[in-house]
Amino acid sequence: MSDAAFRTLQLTKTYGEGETAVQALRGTDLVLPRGEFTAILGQSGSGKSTLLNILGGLDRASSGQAWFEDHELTALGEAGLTRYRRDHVGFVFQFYNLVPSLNAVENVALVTEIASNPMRPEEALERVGLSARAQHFPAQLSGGEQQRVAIARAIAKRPQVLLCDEPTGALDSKTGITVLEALSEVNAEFGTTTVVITHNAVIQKISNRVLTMADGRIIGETVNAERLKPSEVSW
Amino acid sequence: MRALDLKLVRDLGRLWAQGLAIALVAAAGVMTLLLGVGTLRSLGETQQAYYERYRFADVFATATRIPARVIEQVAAIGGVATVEGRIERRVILDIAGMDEPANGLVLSIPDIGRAQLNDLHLVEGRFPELSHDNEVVISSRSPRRSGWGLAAS
Repeated sequence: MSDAAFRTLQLTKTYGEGETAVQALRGTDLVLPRGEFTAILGQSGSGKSTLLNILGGLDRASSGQAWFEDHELTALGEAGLTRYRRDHVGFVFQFYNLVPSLNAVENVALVTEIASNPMRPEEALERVGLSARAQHFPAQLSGGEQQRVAIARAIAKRPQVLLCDEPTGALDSKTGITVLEALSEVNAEFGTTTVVITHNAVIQKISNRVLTMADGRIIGETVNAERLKPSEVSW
Repeated sequence: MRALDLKLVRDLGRLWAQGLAIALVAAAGVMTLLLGVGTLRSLGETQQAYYERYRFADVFATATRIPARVIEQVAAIGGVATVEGRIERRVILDIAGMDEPANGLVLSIPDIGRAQLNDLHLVEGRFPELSHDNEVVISSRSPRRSGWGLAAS
């Protein structure tokens, strides 16, 4: 088995056709080692979210190839991608996507009820420091707490990869740091390959690897010899 | 209870007023539909009963200046149960109190017994007698509109 969690080869993605076509990815090659915390930086429209969606099986590439470990994602059909997402991937979105009529523990249970080897919802909430807020509904939680519930929901099925799309985008610095701490702890404790796309350049300091994207391509890649703790950064 | 079931129950609980309103509108719609269907069916049955009782014809044909024996020839056509001939004439009526003359349709009625087809439903009065050549049956709407009444006999 390869040491890479993700590999892509000349990945392209075009939205629309003809004169209105928009090329979001223009031949992206990358290798993301298993267990690493990777940040993908770039301006809006640089292709970050498109790349994350393809790696997460939420979208399909126009051409090129993408692998998760030994599975070629670009060869999978809808059913295969659904199975891949269910069995291997946890998602964290910018605006949490919690179900308003379910409390924190029930939101996490949505995932644990269909996962094959999940942890208990209460345990997942404990991992993100929200045991005391388990019975609270999203409207009764702060933004940071809601995002931590979303992280608990993402990790409750013990995914091999955690894909985060602007997880601190809607949060202030202090709250964002608590969210980054939760992500870092999950990455360190479970060895979950974590990919975070962000506008927030500070996040690169807590990452193993930093990719910079522009105009649908990866234009820079750095590996941090030393990572800062989330508590050591601010913005 | 599974989380999704719980969500459904809570969402329905939160939307009970809207749910009740939707249910009432749907029930009213179903009730209106049932009433409409019932009324339509009742009218259809009444129409059929009326047609049967007064032997309403299935086919009408108009011809000008034909001999009476043609009626017998038509009766001989396969599938024809009853044929009855009438004389029909459109006339202009000069009626007192009306500025302009009225249009009328004069139809003959059989001179022996009741009509075999398209029998008349008599609302008031009696049928003309054979020996009286100055008696008519008038369509029920006309006399009411014109203020006509029955003549003393």
